[in-house]
Amino acid sequence: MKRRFFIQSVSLGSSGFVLGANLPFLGSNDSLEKKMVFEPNLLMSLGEDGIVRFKYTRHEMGQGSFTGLAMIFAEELGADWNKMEVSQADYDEKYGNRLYGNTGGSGTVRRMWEPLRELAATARTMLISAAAEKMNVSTKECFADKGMVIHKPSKRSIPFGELASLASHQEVPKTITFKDVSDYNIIGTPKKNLNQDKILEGKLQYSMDVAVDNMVYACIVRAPIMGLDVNSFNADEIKNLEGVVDVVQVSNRLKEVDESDTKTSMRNGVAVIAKDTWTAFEAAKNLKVEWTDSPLENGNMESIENDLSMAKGNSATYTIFETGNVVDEFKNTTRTFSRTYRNPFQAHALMEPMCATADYKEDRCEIWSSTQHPNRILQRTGIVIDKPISFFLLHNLPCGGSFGRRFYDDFITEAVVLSKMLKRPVKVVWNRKDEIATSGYHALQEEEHTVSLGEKGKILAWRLREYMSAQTEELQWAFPFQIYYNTQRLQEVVQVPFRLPIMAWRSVQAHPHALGLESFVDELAKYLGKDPLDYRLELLENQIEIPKSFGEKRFEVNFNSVKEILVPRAIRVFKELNRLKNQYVASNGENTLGFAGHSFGPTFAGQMAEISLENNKLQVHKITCVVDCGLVINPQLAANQIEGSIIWGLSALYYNNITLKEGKVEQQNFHDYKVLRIDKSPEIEVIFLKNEDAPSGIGEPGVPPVAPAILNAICKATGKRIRKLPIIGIDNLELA
Amino acid sequence: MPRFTLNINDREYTVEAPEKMPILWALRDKLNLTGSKFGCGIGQCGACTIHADGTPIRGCCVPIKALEGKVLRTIEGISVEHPVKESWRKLDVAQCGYCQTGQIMSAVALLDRKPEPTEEEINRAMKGNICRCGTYNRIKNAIMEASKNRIA
Ligand code: FES
Ligand code: FES
Repeated sequence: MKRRFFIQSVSLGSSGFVLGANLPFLGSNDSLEKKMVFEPNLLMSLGEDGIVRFKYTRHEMGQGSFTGLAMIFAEELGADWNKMEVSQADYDEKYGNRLYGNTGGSGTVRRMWEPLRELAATARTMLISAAAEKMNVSTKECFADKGMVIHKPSKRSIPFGELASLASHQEVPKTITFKDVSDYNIIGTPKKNLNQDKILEGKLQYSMDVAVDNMVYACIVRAPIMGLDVNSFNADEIKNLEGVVDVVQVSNRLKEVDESDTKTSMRNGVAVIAKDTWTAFEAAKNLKVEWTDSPLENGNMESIENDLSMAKGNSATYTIFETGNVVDEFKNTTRTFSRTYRNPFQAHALMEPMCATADYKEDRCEIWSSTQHPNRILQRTGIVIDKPISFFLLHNLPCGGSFGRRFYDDFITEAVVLSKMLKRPVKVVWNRKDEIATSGYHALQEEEHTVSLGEKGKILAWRLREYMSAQTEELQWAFPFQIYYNTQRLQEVVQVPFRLPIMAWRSVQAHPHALGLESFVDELAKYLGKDPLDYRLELLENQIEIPKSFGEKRFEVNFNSVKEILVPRAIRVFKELNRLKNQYVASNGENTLGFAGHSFGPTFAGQMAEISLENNKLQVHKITCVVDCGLVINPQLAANQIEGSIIWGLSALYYNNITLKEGKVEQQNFHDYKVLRIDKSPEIEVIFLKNEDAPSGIGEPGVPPVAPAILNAICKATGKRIRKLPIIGIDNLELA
Repeated sequence: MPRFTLNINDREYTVEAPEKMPILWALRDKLNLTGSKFGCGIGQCGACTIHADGTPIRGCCVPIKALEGKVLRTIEGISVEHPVKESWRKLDVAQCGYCQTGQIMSAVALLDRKPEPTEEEINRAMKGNICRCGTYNRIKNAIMEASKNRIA
């Protein structure tokens, strides 16, 4: 592979920005006391003890980038991995979006790859100059490795700690040189999750574990339907319960200020304040709230079905993109092939329900919680209480899973509003019912693929209509994930307004999109009498010219990267799957195989599912996932992510289904919103294709192929095609 | 408010709490033993698993009152060198880690009862513990690994 991302030298320009540095380098008073004498940038400090202290400026939610980012930094610095001390940075605007942007879209490693290496290489260059000065040799003869600067000709070396003070007086280099990938000895090795030991002792502090002096606990009974408000509630009765401190109403006034996006902000409700979590939970059970009338139409599954089928005749809300003239082709077509696939509403069911503690004081509000998007949530919470982002001090703690949920502001706003109201620290704890029934959800969506077919089954035009239960803002996710540019294409979205708040969910739009596309391609192959893997490769290898950009501005994607990165990766992945298939067949494997592949960002992942069906009882024996994600930073944690993604995808395939009755979510807990358990976990094998391009993300790409790969296998085994998630009754499959 | 005396991790604790309060909340909110986690509150997820006289129980469902006089153990009372923790470390099981203390408590109890569990027995013992990050295969392998090391 060409290493197109490994630029050898970088000009730093105005170094202050690039370094994010607090010049001069003598460090703060505080750090001098601790002998932190070399602070070349906002993320790193080095003391005479030789320990490199590195600040993590994203959110750790189990994806492992707490470890991954430290590895990238340590590698480029030439540090000793065992002398790294990594800590979570509180949110501060001084880091800017580049260093402390949101954590999402499987983009943390991808987006931090350049800035971290710039910062580390700069620091390394200064350490090398310090060492050269000390040894009185040329910097050109020195390099940094394992926490030392080494003079190559004489093999003399000086540990970082002894260079700290001198390094702080070196000039900031104008250009830096990145390490060559062949010299890497940290990146690409299986380093342990840095939180592992704390987790095993029960000492890793999550939001749920926060306790501050004088704190009270809040359980909120939230509007069961977004938009409802409180009419009245039995305040006196609840206040008299033992252990209850107060009962207060919380109202969201974000709507008055910012109409554009209120659906993911806090719901109106009533908060029960108590001396401990359990008392708050119990008292909330006795709370009786009268709600205002629903301002929206009723939402039942029947009416949703109706809305969906009505929408079939509607014209598009948006054209995502169009190449050629698909509409005309369909007017004259003589043969079409069309199929529709359905993804339901899905909840996150993250392991640690949302939790936030806030201590509102006149001059500052301190928050302990977990968020993927500190800037967004502080800005939006700030609107509610009329304060700027700088008013908040946010301790962004690791969380027990997020999967998109902690991108949103509701639970943090609640804590801030309550603390302001009660003039003391308040910890808002969501119970499981709150998390399942009054949250935001992955959109219900239908994908309708239609092709016009010519002679010998040649595709003359391809239309994708997506029926989405999304608000306008959420349509940003409807970007084209397309890789099969073998014909003129049209992709459009028909908005079907439903009442549930929509939120990002592990792999977001790639999930319904892969379900549709990768099932459809399989169906089409079967219809045309072709082998599904060969057919995919045939489509991929016969691309027409891809226009640079088209469609609505907002949906514009970088088609060069599709052509140059994604399509070649897809071809490599499907070829590898083909090899695995042949190997399986040659070994007389008895199970039925199904395949699917999909992109998430620049990463491409393909899967081979081995299944069997006896008396309609589905057994998934093994899933092999082939991944092309560029350079793998930590093979151990990266494999963990793919394994977890597959389990996530299986939960979605088998069980996840949020349904509505009179506008309210019917599910309440893990008994009626099921997730996969250990007994249904198949064998999983993860294969990373070797690629030295920049790392392109690993947290979500493993999810989208799961459902179509298994559905394709089921169809191969039975001839029956399932086009709706979740599949009903895995122990007694409903095969129409 | 009633007072209870509890024996947790070989130490005596006195707690003042409502009679019906489940042990999980006494541990978390009153005793600052936050290693046991809250996940569902209805015995569905296993995040709150602790031991009472060596038997795994769901801390969110058992009131403090019922546990007086019993020998209780939480994740904080399992040595860092315990073979289960060792194998968890070796296989780098935890992702977010939130479910893992409960997983470990279930696994320790299983191996105490059955030092060489079959896959079937592992599934049965661990089925009550949800891991939304999906670390099941590593959990299974770590239990087998710990089983080997205990016997060796
Ligand atoms: S919190 Fe006790 S089983 Fe879920
Ligand atoms: S490790 Fe995150 S829920 Fe199990």
